[in-house]
Amino acid sequence: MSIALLKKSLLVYKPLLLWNILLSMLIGLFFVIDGFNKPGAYAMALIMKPIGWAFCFIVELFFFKKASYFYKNMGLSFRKILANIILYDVVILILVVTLCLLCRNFLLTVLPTYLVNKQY
Amino acid sequence: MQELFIDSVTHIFGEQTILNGVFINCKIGEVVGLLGRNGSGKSTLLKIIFGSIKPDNKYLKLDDKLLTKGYLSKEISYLPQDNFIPNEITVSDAIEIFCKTHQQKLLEIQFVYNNLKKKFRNFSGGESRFLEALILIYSDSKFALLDEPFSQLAPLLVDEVKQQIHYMKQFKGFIITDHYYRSILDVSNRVVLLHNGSNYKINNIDDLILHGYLPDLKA
Repeated sequence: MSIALLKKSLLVYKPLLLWNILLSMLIGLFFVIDGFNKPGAYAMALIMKPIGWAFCFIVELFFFKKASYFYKNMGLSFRKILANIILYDVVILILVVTLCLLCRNFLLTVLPTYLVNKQY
Repeated sequence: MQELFIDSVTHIFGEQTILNGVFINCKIGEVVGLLGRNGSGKSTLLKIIFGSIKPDNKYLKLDDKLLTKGYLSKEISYLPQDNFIPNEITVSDAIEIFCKTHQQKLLEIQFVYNNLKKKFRNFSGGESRFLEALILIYSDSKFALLDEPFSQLAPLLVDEVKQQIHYMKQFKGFIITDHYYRSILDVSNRVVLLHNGSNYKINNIDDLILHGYLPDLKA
């Protein structure tokens, strides 16, 4: 897991990482709505994240083919870049879910009330 | 002397043997020209050295170190036939990534200096090709494999690329292939012809005629 490698990956794969962060936030939302003691959100996370990574792989295959020589000329293989992006993505997912766990009550009650009534 | 060495390259595609026991080597300070008809396996050979194609057999060594994929060593760079730098990258970003050692010398080229902030999407095909060729010529790797670096370039730019290769060969080795055979002959220290899956040493234009690469106009 390397910051330098992440910086290089983001030169091209920024949209893919953003897409995966969006998925992580969606999973976080499931945890907020469904709670942390029911298996539904965990199952959703286990299904959605691999789908997100498979989507990245397909997008790379069709739209980022040109980038393969760009990275190979840096001495990097696509496998290494993908593994690094997935690792960061897992870290981001854990952070999002932890944040949702800590702020669940706020997100479920205080925030909607504030948004509707403009007061706590 | 540091040397890139590949031997016993055999690559079979379907029922056709593209390369059959091909050998090529390149030392730092040397420009090796690679000629051959269309489909003779020039690009395939460069891709095999770089590691983007897996052949049926090969023996690749860099400074006596056995390699499986050339690019993983970070000492071999490859200019493919198509553009390889993504459109959203600026010239200065690309130079920062690939050319740390000889950056100052590269920036002395007026066209490069004047377009540092421009993204690759804003260049014409020829300009983009010219910049990519220069970036790989000035890259930090010890060996550069250039696949048709002169294609799409106007004669003045071809001359510029040849001059830059000539300057940089004191620091690195080049293997170049192109159909502009006169430019290859001009810039190379030695020339290898790929023909019928094998490699032949070329000493002069007559050898190219002998092996059927050039038409025999005297006949």
